[in-house]
Amino acid sequence: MSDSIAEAIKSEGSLNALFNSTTCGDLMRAVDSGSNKLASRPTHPICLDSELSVTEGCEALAANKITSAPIYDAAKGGFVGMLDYRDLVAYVLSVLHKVAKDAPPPDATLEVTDIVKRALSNKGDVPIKLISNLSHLNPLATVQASSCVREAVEDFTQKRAHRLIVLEPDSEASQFAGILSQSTIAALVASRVGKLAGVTNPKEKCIWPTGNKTLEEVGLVGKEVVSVIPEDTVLEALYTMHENHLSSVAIVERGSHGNDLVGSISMTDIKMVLSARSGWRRLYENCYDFFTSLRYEQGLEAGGDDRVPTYIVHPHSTLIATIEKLAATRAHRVWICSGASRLVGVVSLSDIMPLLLQ
Amino acid sequence: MSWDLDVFIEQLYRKQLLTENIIKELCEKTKELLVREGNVAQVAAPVTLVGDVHGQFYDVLEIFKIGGWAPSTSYVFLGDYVDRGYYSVETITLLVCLKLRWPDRITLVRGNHESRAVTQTYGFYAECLRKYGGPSVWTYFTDLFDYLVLSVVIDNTIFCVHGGLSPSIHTVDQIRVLDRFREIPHEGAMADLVWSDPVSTPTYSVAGPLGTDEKGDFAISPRGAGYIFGKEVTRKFLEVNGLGHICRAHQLCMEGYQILFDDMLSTVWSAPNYCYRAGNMASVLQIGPDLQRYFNVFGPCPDQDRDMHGRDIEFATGTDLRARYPGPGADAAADDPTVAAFRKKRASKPMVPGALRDPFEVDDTDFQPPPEGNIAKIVAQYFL
Repeated sequence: MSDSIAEAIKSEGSLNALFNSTTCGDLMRAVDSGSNKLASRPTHPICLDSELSVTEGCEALAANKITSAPIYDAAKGGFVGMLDYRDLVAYVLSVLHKVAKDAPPPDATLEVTDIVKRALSNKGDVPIKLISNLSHLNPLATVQASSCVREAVEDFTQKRAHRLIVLEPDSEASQFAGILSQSTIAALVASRVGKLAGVTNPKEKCIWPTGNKTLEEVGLVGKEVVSVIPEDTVLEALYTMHENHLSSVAIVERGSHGNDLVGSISMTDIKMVLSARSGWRRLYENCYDFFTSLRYEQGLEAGGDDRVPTYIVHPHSTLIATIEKLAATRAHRVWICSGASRLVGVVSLSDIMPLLLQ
Repeated sequence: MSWDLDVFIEQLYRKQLLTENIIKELCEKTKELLVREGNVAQVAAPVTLVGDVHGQFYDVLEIFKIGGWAPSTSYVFLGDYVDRGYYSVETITLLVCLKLRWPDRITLVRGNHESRAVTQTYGFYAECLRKYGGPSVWTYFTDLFDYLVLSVVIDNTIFCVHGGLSPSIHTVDQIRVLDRFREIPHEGAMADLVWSDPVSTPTYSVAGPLGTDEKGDFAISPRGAGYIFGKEVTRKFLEVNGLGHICRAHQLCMEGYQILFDDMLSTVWSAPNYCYRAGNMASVLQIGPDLQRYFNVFGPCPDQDRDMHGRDIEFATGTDLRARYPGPGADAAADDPTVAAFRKKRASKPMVPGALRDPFEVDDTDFQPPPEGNIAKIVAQYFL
């Protein structure tokens, strides 16, 4: 990063100089070194055909290790929406809701699609265009490649979207350049003003003043965290997330002095349900067992590199350290614990976006 | 049952679980032993370094078959004894007994899996529950894990740790003054030593007008704890501390070992066919009396000598395990295609002592074993 931008950040006390000098298109062209085995970005933008079935859509997301993709309708010649795991969860919940509550769990050999057949009386595989944005949390939001990053951050803050489609207009029509997610913004901030970016001496404070504030100081500690207990089923956990408009819940042991964090389930974990044969049975497992089997698989997928069971920061961790952790792990959120495991808050990329404008 | 470590060890070699009361006593006695050891253990060569074993009990027996049974060979285990494999309890109980029986011949270093939160997630807790009906045994072992040493230095030259380096640790003396008798924290020096990984290129490129000792050569690890670190940091650590090499574990290596940073750092991995599906080789690092380093590579234990998950073979009492694992001369593994293929791959090149060689390229028919008999004898006979 050039010295003039660094100087501007120091004198203005905000990240505007960085955001105004980088365009969304620049971020799309940034190269991921690939040293992050746990979560690497795909090398080219992925979009899904609108006629793909639910299972195929889910498999496509999982195979490319992304959490969302735009849906392209060839007949209409344009994007008709976004598909992400929250929509898939909303779909599964709505289908299962059609099964009577006191009916026994459906036969183990049926796939989700067969349940749909039962529930919706013989319609075939549901095409994903029908479940695009079913969760209402995933609107199709676009931004031009030539816009500066500040616009993207403002969109994230105001429209409460998690990702934007970046369009690069050429002579004929708008060309899909990629997805700009909140993670990309966090990675940009971490790599330019992070303590370990090699730009400043790690022993000195971050050049962005807000970055040096603790999570407590920016008001992210102490809010109630929606949680489930290990004995709750995966289905109950998904339902809790859906009703609270969240994409993740903490699994906690409840105690008199507070809750101890033992695990977490997020909506992206639905891929273990939808893409495996008879995977939907797992909806009835207890969520802690589901969580441990997910970590077991994730470790093997990462070439044997096991990760910590849950990503944790502390109330006295600084904002910039939290952003660096989110960027390095490519997580959407980290849990705030005091002491070893007492859960006192959660900080997600959505919480951080408005703070980047300060 | 009267207290006899040799009886316990013999039982454990036959994969028989010890009772809960005996395990409690073993852990208490081992804690008393370990509390007197400093955070950095000093060990003399010759010694064999063992990487992650992750509850793969039969492969631990392979290691003893290849490297020599305790106490004839001195061993340093680099951590990650439990989780993922099916026999974490038997593995850790055996190693604890060996440590108690021959404390100067066995060194146990703490890995990132020797931790309460991690063992609850990755399988050790569930295994203890299954085999003992309750969590007490898990509690005894995880309390013991708080006492394991953090690192080893061999003959003031080779630094051994489970994970890697820390931006908070510039000298080995700084490790000596840490308080290690606690659960591994989420961050800080102790967490870094067990979680960090070396990478050929750190995530962030170095930029800015900073001096060489301030390069941003550490980056936050995607694992969620510890750091990833590069060549410059490794070189600096070796120079400042007058060391020659770092050996660590923590990362799966398909060939069983990996050498990085112009041989300043190596990774040893000792769990073949990890989780019974990764298809990898494993190795132990044999260090000779003059600090010659040799990665002895081996494959998974032949299937006919181990029970598959769910099919337990009863061992008759009094069976000497050494009868089941024939010594040099008897070609027990001749029918196993993987080992046969492994042996066929040897090309004929002379072995140069003191240098690291790919074992596939070694012809050691002319190998002169060093005066200390055991390791070399077993190594040479294994190859012939």
